[in-house]
Amino acid sequence: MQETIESRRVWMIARERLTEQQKRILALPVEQNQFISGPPGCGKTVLLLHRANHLLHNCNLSPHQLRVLVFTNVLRSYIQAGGDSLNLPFEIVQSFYSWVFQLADREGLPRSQAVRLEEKCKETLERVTRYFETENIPPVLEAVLVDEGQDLPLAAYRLLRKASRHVTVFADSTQKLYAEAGMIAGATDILDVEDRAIRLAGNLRSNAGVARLAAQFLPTEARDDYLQSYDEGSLPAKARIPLLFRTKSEDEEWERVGEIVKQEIGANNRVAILVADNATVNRGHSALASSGIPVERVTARAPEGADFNALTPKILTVFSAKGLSFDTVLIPRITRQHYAYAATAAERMLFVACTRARDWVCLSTVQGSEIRELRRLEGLALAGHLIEQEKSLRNFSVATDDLPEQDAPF
Amino acid sequence: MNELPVLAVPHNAAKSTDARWFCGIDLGTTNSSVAILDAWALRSHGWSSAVSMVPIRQPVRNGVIESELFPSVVAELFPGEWVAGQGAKEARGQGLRKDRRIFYSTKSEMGLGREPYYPFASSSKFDSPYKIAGKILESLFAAVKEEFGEEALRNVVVTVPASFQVAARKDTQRAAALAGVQLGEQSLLDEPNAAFLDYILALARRESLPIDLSAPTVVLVVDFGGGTCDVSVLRVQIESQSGRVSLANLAISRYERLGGDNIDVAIAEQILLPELLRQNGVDALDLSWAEKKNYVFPQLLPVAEALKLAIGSEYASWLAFHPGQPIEPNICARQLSTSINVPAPDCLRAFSLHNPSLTLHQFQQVMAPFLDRDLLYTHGTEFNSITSVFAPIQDALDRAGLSATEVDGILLVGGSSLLPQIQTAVRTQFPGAHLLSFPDPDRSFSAIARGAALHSFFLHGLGIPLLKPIAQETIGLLTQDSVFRPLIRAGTELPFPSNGQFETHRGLSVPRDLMTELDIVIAAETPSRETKVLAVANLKPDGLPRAGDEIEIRFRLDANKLLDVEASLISNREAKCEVSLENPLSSTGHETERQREILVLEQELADAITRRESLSSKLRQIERLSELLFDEKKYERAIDWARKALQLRSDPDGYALNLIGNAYFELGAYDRAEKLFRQLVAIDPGWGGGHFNLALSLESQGRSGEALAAVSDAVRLALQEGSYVALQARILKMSGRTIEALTAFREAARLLDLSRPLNEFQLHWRILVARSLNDVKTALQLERLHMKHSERALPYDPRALPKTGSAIALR
Repeated sequence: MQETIESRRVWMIARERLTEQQKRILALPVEQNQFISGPPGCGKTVLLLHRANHLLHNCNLSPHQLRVLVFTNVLRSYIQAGGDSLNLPFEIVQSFYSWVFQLADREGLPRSQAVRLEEKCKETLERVTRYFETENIPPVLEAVLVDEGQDLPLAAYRLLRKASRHVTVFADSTQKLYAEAGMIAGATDILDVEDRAIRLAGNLRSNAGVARLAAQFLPTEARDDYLQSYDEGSLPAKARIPLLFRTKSEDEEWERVGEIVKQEIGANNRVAILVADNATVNRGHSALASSGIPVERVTARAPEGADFNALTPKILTVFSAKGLSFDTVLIPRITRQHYAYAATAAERMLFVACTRARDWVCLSTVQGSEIRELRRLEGLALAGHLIEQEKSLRNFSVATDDLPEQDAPF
Repeated sequence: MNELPVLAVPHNAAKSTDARWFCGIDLGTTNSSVAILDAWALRSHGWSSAVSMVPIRQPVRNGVIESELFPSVVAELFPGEWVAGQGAKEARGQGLRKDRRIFYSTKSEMGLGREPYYPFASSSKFDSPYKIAGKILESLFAAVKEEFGEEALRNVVVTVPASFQVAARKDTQRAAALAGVQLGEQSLLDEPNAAFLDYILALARRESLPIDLSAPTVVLVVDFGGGTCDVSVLRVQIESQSGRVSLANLAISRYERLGGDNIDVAIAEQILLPELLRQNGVDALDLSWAEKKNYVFPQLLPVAEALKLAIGSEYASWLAFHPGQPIEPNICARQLSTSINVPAPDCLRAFSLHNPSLTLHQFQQVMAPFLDRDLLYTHGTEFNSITSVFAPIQDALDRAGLSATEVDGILLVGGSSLLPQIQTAVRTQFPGAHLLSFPDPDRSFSAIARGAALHSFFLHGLGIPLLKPIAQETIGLLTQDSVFRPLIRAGTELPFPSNGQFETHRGLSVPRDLMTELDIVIAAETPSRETKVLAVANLKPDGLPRAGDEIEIRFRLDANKLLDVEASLISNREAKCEVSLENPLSSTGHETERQREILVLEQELADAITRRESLSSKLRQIERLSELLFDEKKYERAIDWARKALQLRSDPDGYALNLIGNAYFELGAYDRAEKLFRQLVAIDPGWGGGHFNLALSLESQGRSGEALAAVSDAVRLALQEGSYVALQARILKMSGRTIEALTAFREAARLLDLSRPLNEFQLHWRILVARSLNDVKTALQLERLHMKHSERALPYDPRALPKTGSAIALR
């Protein structure tokens, strides 16, 4: 029986605590489509849920007239957990392609025969889109809200424009994981929102330490733009300097990760361990379980089991973590074996991984097998914005106490 | 209103300043913090950005954190290597012995005078609370110096609880001096007042004021932090034309050791410790008091604190998402399983604490006594002292002579005030008052430091402190026929006189009927015109003074509220008396004679330990200490010391055995008590009390046959002792031998003859007898008498007087 910590730490933010700009956005009119972009951590997902709530309760939409569409199953579960706080019906949140397949079935369109899931999705989407465009089908939904809109292909926007009377897109141009993902320009063009696109400013989730670290993984030209979105006044008071530690072996690395996870839970932080691939998810899960630390595996296939409001630490891939947010993020195993041959460039993965954190990021690797992208962090370390530690921690492991010779009940 | 003129820099400033940085330090019980005022930014941009918090870099196990909060914890991780702040706090859960190598919540122990206060400290650098405070300040000063240069350290204000006594204030100054900064009297600022200054600063950003301050307004500032709950009553007025702020301190509460730390200890003591013992199948008394205090609690407290914070934030977020709905009591906070290590001479014992949790329901039960509006006295447990937050509030109101309805506004500050339960309770108690709050709840943590920085600017930069300490009550002399002659009136700004010299008062003369000496009676008059005597000094002239000779009184009250009074005869300057009183108006009056005696004895033993003397010569003191602790109902601690006494004696000692047995009995550990009493009977078979106590412990275990045998031995040894017969009767009754029981009760009633004086112990048993004989009238009469007895806190020697209650402790 896996031990869990079901203490709840709701990631959702109550309406009163939103900024004035955020409150205006959630009540934007539905007569026109809306496009909201902003850097990671500016509160897009929170806003999306409040907007869904607004549409249901103030615009009198019924749950079957509204969809919140997301790119991954994990994000769907995560958003459902947040919607729980607002009592949103969970069925309004769907992954984009499951909605596309549903449409295809409903309209009696033949399914794609492609073997690979990716191909199957692409073909079905093309088919449904063409059907809606050529047959002039009336919209089947009153409103659609899209999260992580930068990851949807352009065809998706063509379909959304036809299938729903209103579309609000929340997107982030800095964190595209897939090369073939839709260009924001194309999407705003299709939705006819170029002149209305809103950029969310300030109030970033991540603190300065995290943001400085994440920025190192952006191309130089995007870096300033990202760091400028900081409104210094809104930065959290507490800044923990990110940590990069190197160990001699993988076992040592997991041992230290476990220690850190324990300490973070002790401070009531929501913790995620983000790794490059599924094999490492399993490896980490068993390594930590064997040292008595309960962690929850979150996989794209079965994300339902994960309770994103609970304090139990999560281990998942960087890809699955898109759109999610945690207090503390640990990124272990940054080795050539795991990152050098991944489908996505290491920088992009590390940027997405770092920006999942609100308070603190801890990177780790094994001496000698680290990826060269970590060299980008040298300047940060020199400036004192990153702590580098080799295994030696003598200073902070306490010497065992000797008993006073003459103990007395003081 | 963008910029309140309130804080417009006055034209009459005593000096203009070129200095740029002014530093305010909140030296808290749990966390400390630093704020800095930038005078240049003030000149160019006004108040809104003039004060900011200083992030402090703190080495921790996993690198470095930069935080405005600096935990007031000092730990020596390795011999000679110490760390303060978050890194030290992290070490709390790692089995370091408290007050030896790790020190926290030490502010509550400032000014207690015992030196060294921590006899087991690993080095003399850590052996007193003020030295720990010095280490904390050293780290804070270093951070300030690095960021703003030496200059900022010339303009420092450090805050103290308003109710701190002079000794504690002096200790704060000593701590700063150890860290290289000399603080004048005025550089100490009362914490609630600092918080209110910051509130005014925050007002400067507000469009509209939540409360009308144009007329004199009474504001209660409640500073409920980590270790103290301090209440200050202020009268505030902001003149609408000039914008000048006038602030007067009407009263401050007496000193209370009450804060978030006490809540953590309560969670650890009431929820986590019993759970730990249950899970490991360990009896509460298998671990000594010292082991629990020095090892178990330091490791349980981080868990307790995490659970408290988690349940608080879950409760708050539940309220935010479910406004107006009934509260869900099953909301539960959990923490990771952990292991608690207790070193023993030859091994390390590890106890695992599996899945520690705290439900909202449990938390509310723990919080109830802290929020009680009726029971305002402090009650101690083995490891904690619990006071209602309304005790200092009521005390401050009483001192100010105000009722709850006369309060216009309440400002809650300090980390613990953020607990929703506290806010609800205060709102209920003061339905008519505005609950003032900062726009940002996090400011509760920083308000005190910010206010201190503001004060520092006015004090060091402009030479006009914004708020001066005041005399809370009128101080004067009581003369013949109880006429009160005021010397320093309530509300007078301190120091008085302002130049630090003595003020002279004349017009008193030697009365006609004087015998040999004159009583100079120093008294205070409350707002309700009651006088209370603070001190009496004796003026003893050589030879008889003549009636009508003039007496001169010289006096002063400094900013630290130290009162000096001298009296002399003008005709004979040699005849003179002097008296000094510390903080005469907030004297705690809390400590009983017994508690003071405990402190004195502990000091004596601590000294002996520091000098590495053998404790064998201190046997008498150790025994006395265990008795006093027993009477204080600190049973576990009493057991520890009595055991120490047993260890030091070469042969078994009946007195210590009896005391330990009685303590076990009071703790409900009847089997352990039985064991002790059996030993007692074995070494001293001729004393009836031992048999009697043994019988009691057996009876409580339901073993009436054995109990009867034991009590019969007692009765045989002391034929005239009615109390023993009464117990015998009760056991007979329990065994179903009703007729014999009735006879025995009658015999007991005869022996405990009401026409003779009964001691408390006998009275207790006489009531039982009256009840058993259905003599309700006598029982009621005696119970009233018994209650009266208990009300009187008589100095009490268990050797001379038998103990109330079931067991006896006489020898």
